[in-house]
Amino acid sequence: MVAKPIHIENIRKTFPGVVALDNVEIEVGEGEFFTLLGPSGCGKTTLLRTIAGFYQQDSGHIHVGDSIIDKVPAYQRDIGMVFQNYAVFPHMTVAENVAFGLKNRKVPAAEITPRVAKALATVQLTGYEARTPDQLSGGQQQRVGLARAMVIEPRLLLLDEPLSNLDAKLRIQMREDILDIQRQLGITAVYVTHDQEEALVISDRIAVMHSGKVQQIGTPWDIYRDPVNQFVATFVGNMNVFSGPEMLKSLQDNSRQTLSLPAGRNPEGLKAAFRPEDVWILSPGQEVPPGAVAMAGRVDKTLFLGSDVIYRVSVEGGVSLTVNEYVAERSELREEGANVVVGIPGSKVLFFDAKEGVRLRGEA
Amino acid sequence: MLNWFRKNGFWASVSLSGFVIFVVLILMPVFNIVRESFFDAKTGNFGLGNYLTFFTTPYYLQALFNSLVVSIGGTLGAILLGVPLAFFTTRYRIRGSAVLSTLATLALLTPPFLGAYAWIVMLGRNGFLRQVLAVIGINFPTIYGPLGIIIVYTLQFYPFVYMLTAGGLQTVDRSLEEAAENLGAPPFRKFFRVTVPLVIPSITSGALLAFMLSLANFGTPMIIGARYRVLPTMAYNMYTSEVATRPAMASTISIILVFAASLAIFLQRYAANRRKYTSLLLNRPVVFRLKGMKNFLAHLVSYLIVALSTLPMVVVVVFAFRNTSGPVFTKGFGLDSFRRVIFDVPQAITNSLLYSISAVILIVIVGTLLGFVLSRRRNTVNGILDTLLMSPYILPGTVLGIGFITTFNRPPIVLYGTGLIIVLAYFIRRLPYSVRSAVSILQQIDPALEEAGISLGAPPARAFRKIALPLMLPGILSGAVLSWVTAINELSASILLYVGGTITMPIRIYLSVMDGYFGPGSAMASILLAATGIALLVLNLFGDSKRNIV
Repeated sequence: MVAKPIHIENIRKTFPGVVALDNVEIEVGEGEFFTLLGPSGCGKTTLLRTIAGFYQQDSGHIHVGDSIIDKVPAYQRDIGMVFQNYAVFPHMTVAENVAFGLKNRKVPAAEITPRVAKALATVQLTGYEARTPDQLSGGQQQRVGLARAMVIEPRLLLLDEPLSNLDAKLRIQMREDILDIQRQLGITAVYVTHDQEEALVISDRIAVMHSGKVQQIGTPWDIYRDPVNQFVATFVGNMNVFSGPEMLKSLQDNSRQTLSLPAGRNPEGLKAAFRPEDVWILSPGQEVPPGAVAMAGRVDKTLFLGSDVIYRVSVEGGVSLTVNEYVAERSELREEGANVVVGIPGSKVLFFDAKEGVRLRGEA
Repeated sequence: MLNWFRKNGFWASVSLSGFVIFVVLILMPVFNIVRESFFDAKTGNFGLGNYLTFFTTPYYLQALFNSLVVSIGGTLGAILLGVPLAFFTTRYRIRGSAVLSTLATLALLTPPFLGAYAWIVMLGRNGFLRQVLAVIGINFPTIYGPLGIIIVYTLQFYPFVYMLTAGGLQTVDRSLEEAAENLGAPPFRKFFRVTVPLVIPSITSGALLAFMLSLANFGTPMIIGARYRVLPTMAYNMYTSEVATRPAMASTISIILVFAASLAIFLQRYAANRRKYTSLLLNRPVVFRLKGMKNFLAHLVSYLIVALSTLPMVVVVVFAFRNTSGPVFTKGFGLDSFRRVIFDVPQAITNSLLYSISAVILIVIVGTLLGFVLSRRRNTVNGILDTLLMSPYILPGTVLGIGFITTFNRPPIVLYGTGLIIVLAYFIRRLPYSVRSAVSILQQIDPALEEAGISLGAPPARAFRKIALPLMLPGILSGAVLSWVTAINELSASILLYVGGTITMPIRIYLSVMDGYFGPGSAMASILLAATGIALLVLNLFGDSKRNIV
């Protein structure tokens, strides 16, 4: 299998009245697992379908390896695709489904059987050759879809929300299987999902998309820990976001520690944000760790998840915060109505421009 | 041309053929009728004269009035039989309801003129029922006239109302009725405030379908109407009468008929779109088991309705086996009538088979390809084509027949007198149904399947052949069988288009009835019934039987 790097060069695609892709620029390395992440309508599926050749871009180029494939029809692109609703041919057996692409490539019959067997073994479906799709579960059908796309040894594998129709448990198992298979084959993969957790788990790198534009490209760690704007920060993971000078002022006033604002900025026109797991929850009177701003509040709601617990805490100024605490560190849950102090490490607070949403860095 | 094909490919040429078919087989005939309808035979000028004559002459207005009377009568009758049958069979346990449904479908698929013919055998001037009643001293009135037409329409078209309403009732989610009960609605109120409003779109659709078909029907009023003239029979007479042919007036009547049909279609679409409920159908409705008198009555009504519509078929078959001497039935049973049909007029049978099968082959190929283009390659041009190709739906057979004659009896295309013109008439009359059904079949096939095929290296034509086509086959087969049934039973257009050598079974039956030769007529009709029955059987065994019939 020849893994190829791909280069999405300044792709623009419009539908009547909508700019679906607004000059998208992405490079995916050889053998990389790359994910397009974004809410529905962000253009991620349009981009995937443009790479597959089902849509023709208005401008820009798609490079696979050294060649530009803009003019190549979909059936000659040699790009494997796994579909959201499996798209397993219902009138063919499992083996016929997997062999379909090989037959289109006029692979000799003697070669087809072993290759189909090998592909089915890879997705753990050995022995299912003669079954028809209606005898398979959703997860098994998606494995057929995966085997079918891999067996042709494509230069690129596209996956269009392949797990979204599966139930939660199976989804978690399948995403690891997909990752294992991709690593084993060393194939370049472009994966589309709206599930941020899935994207973080599975990807080498992620492109977060919103309204046809790429917002940020980076490793899952970068995307989560170092978002470039408010959209990325709030779409990937959870964020407490405050806006307005009043709130920032109360943050300042209620603690011994002052929050340092980005260079040359006043609280006006700023938004501050921090992740629920980045804080300490303290009982009143407990020492606030150095470098943290502290806010007194009251537990409104306790949502126990097993491994950790989510509290909704209303603090002075009437704002509701969401904070996480690991259960392992405590002997009992904090009750609803309990008074607490929320300690926020100053270094974990991110600032965004209130209008543009752009991340503001650097301290005064 | 070659370059154009290369650039735009196979599917663009399918769209192009769609436009050619529309222009030659629909636009040209309709244009000729319209032109003719403005032609004043006396002065040789064009003008509104014919229309003025139509709307000022009681003779013509009477035909319009008559048309409306029998169509509305037939429609009301169809609702009266169809709705209760639908309700009983879907909500209560009726023994043998599958058989009832099959018999109703059979009644629907047999051409109306066979029903008309059977009623004449029973209650015509020499009808056997009247003879039996006369023996015991009752002078029962004959079936001829408007009432007879309404009875035939009612029994012919109630299955439309029945099937659509039953379909509607089966998809009313049980939770909706339960919610009504939970909110305190007693059964009566629940039924009229929740259930009925939800199925009204289905009932209206069925009723308007019945109205349309009644309005356009030619065979029934021709056979059973006696002197009761309706628009299609009047147009036919004006066009063919040896005494006073008035082709221009026939065209004017045709246009008025098309106008009335369009109005009905428009109303149907409006009614269907205005109140369309989608149902998740998580909970199927409950089927109750009635007890005692209620149970008996529900069974009685259901059986009676279906029996009444099956009766004409039984009569036709029985009389096919009765011995005859000329026009008179004699004692005893035998195969004499069949022998006479097969040896005296084999041509009608072979022609019918040849024409209907040829038409079906055309319909299937063209309909499937066009359906694919219209559903998978949506663009402005194909959107226009979609609308244009629906137009035969509003062209009654008589009108199409007149249009075909005026268009194809002179250069550049001379087809009059050939079998081909009949094949083309069958083809174009059924094409809208075929295209629609292909579109609806494709709507149920996920486009991702074809895309998967393409991404696996199959060129579009191969992807269609290997993926879409095999998945469409059961639906296509059903459509083909239904098209074949309508083609082999077609009368209203072919009666205008046939010449001696191109006679078909329905025409032969019509002529037999007119001449009073009921024996051979019944035998021929039985053959048609058998063909229809076999078609239904094929449909149930292999096809997608729930599709297309309505």
